[in-house]
Amino acid sequence: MTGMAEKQLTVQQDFKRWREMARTYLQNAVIPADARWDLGDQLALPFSFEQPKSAAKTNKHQVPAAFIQVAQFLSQHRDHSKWTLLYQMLWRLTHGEPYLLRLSSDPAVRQLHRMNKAVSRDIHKMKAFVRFNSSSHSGEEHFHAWFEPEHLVLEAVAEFFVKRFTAMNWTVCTPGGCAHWNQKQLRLSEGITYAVYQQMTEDDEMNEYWRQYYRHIFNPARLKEAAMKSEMPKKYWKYLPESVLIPKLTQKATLNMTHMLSQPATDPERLRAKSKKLKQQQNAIRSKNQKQAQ
Amino acid sequence: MSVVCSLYVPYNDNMQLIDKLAILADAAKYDASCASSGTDQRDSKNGKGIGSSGGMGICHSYTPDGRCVSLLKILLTNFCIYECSYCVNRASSQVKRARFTVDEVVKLTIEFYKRNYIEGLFLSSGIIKNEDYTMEQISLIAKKLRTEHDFRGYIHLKTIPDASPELLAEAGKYADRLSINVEMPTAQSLQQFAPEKSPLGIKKSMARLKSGIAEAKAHKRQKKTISNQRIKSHIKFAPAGQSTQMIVGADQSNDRIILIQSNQLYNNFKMRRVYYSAFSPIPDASQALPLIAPPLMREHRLYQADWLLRFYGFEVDEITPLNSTSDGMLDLHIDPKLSWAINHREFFPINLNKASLEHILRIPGIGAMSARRIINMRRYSRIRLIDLQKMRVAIKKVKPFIETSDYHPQARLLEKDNLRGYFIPPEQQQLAF
Ligand code: SF4
Repeated sequence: MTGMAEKQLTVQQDFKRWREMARTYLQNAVIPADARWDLGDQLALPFSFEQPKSAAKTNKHQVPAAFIQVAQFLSQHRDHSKWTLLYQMLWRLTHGEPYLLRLSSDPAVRQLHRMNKAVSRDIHKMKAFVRFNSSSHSGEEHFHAWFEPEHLVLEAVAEFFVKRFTAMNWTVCTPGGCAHWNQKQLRLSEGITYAVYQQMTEDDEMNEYWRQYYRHIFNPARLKEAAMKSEMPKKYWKYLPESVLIPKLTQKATLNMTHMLSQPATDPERLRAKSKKLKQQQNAIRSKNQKQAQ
Repeated sequence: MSVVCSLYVPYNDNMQLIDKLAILADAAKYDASCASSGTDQRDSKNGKGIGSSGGMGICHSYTPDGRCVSLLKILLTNFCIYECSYCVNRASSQVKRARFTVDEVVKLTIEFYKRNYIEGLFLSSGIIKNEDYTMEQISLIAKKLRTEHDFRGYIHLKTIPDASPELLAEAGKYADRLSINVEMPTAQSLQQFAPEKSPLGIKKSMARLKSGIAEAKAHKRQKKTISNQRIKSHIKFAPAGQSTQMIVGADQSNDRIILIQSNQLYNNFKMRRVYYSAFSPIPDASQALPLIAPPLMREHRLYQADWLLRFYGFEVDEITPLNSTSDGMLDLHIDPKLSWAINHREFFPINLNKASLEHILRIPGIGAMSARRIINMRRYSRIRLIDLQKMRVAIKKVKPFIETSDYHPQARLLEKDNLRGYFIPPEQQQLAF
């Protein structure tokens, strides 16, 4: 497999750093209230500790594998308080509450779930609402997308796209970073502003086809605007070429439905009366069905 | 190749693709299904082809009707020789007609997919010429997508009942999901409103799909158990199973009849899903079926009842009892679980610290997730009311029905004559549907 990422991804790096620090804190019995994590961008220990004396001491602290997983996931949350929360939980897991994760109503567990849910939702919505714009550069097709995720999920989403759009060249940009895929390697670069992004892209003619589809797959007789908005809040609309249609479709829905209901109905025999061939065909099928039913 | 139907309706073969798209999306929107989940895990990491699937499906957009847009849902053509009264595409309808070429559908699917608009394709068609010809054309598109473009996204094909078994087998090779709509809750209604469709033919085809799916599954399981050597031969058949759709409110069938039918479909044909589609006004309706506003609340209650059947251990007879006081309809004001509980107060209160999962699942306001969390939690601590609150269970709703270590319901509440009224806000008691 060709290298998916040429450098260690940053969120994973952060987590590794936190894990090392947490291990040191734990080994030196630093209680959660005294542990400091808020040291600017780089996580660094505020003071130095002695190295643990024996291997036995290092292995003393066992935590469920599930904790490492949720902790790693949580490192994608934007809020720095995540590190404090994780250490609090780590402390309790290793100090008499090994089953902590199962206490769904514990405030720390709930906070963890809440924060992780926010991250999952962000990942899910980004996978859903990223729209690639195609453009050609010296004969090669390249796809661009812009998104502003709430959390640090660009890498997770980029890896998903690598598996899905492997045979495409694409770039996904966010204010916090860009991910580039050239069919072989995933590269991360600095974030850019929306204005800069706009200069990179052109309008894609397929957007017009997509809007046409969206316009016509909507059934005006079932208007439920609130349901749509709860799944697709307005803050996502700017990524979606189809969203310009929403106000008009919504406004005209009731009118269209009333119009439909007021139209005269058509005689089911209309065509059968005109076309002998159709009538024969339908009659043949109908009599076959009747025989079958008997 | 000339299309038989072009004899009946003026048809312009030079129509632009974008205009065809309008007509053939309009023609497809009455199918409720948009699921793209639960199929084989696939991706294109080996650098060939495009797409991935498996796991949770993704809704890439929502239309103002609140529906998820996950698949490119279109008809190959809306020409149709059948006369299904409820359908906008029936032969006698005066809607504009169009037909995609095979390559047009392939192109739209791939180009939409590349822009991350969709998870895949849901293709259906009016019946042109005959059943086998139509099925062949549908399959051909799936085949092209899979073999020529190495498309690894999701494909759902609407199967034409009465198409030959060989053609079904071919379709199953390329599709993730196959479906045949039962359309009507009873055979009589189907005969009345879709005279060219055969209830027997539909069931026969469903049975074929069921055995095809089961065979492929068994083969896969066997392969896993034999050894870790990879065996190349691979029977493929609709790994995401089959589903179907029933139209609600076009005929006179009550909810009990509908649920009995669903139950049979789940049991006899291993359906993944039965979709309920509220009969919706269409342009140019038939005199055989006068239009009404779609019964959306009824549709919603049927989905809830369907979940009770599948995941909560309820029987149809419990949800819609067979007795003289019942009209076989679900209560539109309250959900079917609550409605059952109000009629079975002897079952309550349920002690959350002692009751089995099956019993906890019967408590109105407690979903399958919360029920499992309660069972999990009580291995370590006793359940209190506040724990439920923290799990975001609707306390007002569950209160009459439960007991916790710190709470016992007032007997008054359960014995209230108007317990139903306790749950319905006054302004809601007059529901329009
Ligand atoms: S077969 Fe019936 S339901 Fe299907 S497109 Fe034709 S008229 Fe509509």
